[in-house]
Amino acid sequence: MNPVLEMKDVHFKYLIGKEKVFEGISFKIYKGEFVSITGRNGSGKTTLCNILRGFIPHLNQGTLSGDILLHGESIPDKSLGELADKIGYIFQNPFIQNSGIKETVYEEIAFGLENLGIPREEMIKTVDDTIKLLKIEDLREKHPAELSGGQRQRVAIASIIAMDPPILIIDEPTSQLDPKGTEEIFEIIKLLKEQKKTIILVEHKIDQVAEYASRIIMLEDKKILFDGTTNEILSKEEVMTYGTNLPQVAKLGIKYSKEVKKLEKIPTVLEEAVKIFKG
Amino acid sequence: MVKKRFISRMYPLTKLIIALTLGGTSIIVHQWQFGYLFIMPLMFLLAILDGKFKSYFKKVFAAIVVFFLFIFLIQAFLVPVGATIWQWEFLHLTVGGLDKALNITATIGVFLTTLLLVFETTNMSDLMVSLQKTGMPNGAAYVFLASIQMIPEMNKRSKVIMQAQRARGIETEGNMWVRTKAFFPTLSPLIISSITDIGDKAATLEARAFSSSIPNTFYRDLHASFFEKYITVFVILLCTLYTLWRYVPAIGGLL
Repeated sequence: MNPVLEMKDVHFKYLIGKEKVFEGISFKIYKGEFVSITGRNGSGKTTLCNILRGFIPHLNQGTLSGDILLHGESIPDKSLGELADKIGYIFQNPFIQNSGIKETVYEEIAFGLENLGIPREEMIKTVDDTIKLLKIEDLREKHPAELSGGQRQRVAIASIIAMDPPILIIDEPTSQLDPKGTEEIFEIIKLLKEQKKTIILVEHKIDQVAEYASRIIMLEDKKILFDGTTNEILSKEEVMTYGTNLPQVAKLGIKYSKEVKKLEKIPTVLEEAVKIFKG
Repeated sequence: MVKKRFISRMYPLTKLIIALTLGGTSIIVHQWQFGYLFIMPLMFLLAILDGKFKSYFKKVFAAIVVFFLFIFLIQAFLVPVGATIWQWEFLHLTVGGLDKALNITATIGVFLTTLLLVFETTNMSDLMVSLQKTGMPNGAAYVFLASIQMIPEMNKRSKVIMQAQRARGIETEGNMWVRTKAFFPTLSPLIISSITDIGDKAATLEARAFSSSIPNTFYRDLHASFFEKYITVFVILLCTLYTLWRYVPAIGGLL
């Protein structure tokens, strides 16, 4: 099977940075994979996402080398407009993600479709479906600038998934949200996973990562330190020394394995743990 | 929702073209009766018919007080031409001065009343959609609409900055000098944060395919009706005839 996204020996330095952000990053992402990118603050998670979406080098300049491929075609050689319906991008900051020209949430969601030249009847159907899917009917006629952070983030996600990109890059969507807002966003992420979208998620809330992601790529010191299945990575105790937390159940599993009885598999999600400890 | 009346329902571009045609005509014909006796009363009448008179009149009135009156007085009293009609101390009102003042203010008045009526009765997004359909670039429409929406947002943000700066001990209330001193620490974060937001905004717009080369479609469903298409032609025709009548002596021009 051919990878959907691929990076081959990517090096990058920002125009104004002194040091390189990446020195030789390589990985392949396949269709339907749910990859979580972790690493300490400043390890380049957002930069990696920006490179995959083409924002680097199009909007943010720097010295970029290596191959960045979407279905085997070079991403930096494509225009940003061309990539919009292929790779969706959801940003960290909910407050800058509205178009700033629309009067209702409904039109805000339609904005991307207008730009893609989708015929009006189809546009209405898609927007209606997206609103229903994300359960944001109550926001439909509201002004996008008068929403709370959580509501804005849901509208931003709705605006991107209305464009139906097969790949989604989601960069710390809940970092500025309260627990309820976070839960609502993960409900949506779960839906996207069920739709078999290829998802790349940057997220610090490790319990959620453990639950949803199938694979983890961990960045450290300009390189990829770990790349493997979620369970494989999150059961390593040393992960904690690189600024990424482990799920509570994994910590318990590790401690139990060391001090009580060796476990064959360290659990990373609650259900797994329950199964293991029940025997 | 209030049912939209005739003028409010009209195709935005039709309204804009008619307004500009009338304005242009009033420059060319140079006849104050056209503005004062025909267009301005007509605009007020249309505003009343459209049920928008109150807010429309407020805007027109504000504009009149600011420069309309000012221009009129300067023109009338400071350009002495011809016989004096009325005089007090050093002020002389002359026939020529009055004529000039009336003509200039009539032209301004026509532009003011027609364009204000257009903006009063038109949703700006609708206007932009109708302009984009005739080939205005998306970027231009975006800049226009974003600037309108930005004003209240900047206002909100400046209040937040002001509070933050007050919390740090900068005095923002008091006499003129204190307020002036507070000006830079409150204004510079506003400007800098607005500039840094531009990069994020660009990325947001790109995420929504803003620079896509595919021609846009529009959610707002606007079409000029048969009547709206031809009334523009009709008004332009009438204005041309009026201009001809005014300037071609063969048909009684140059009155």
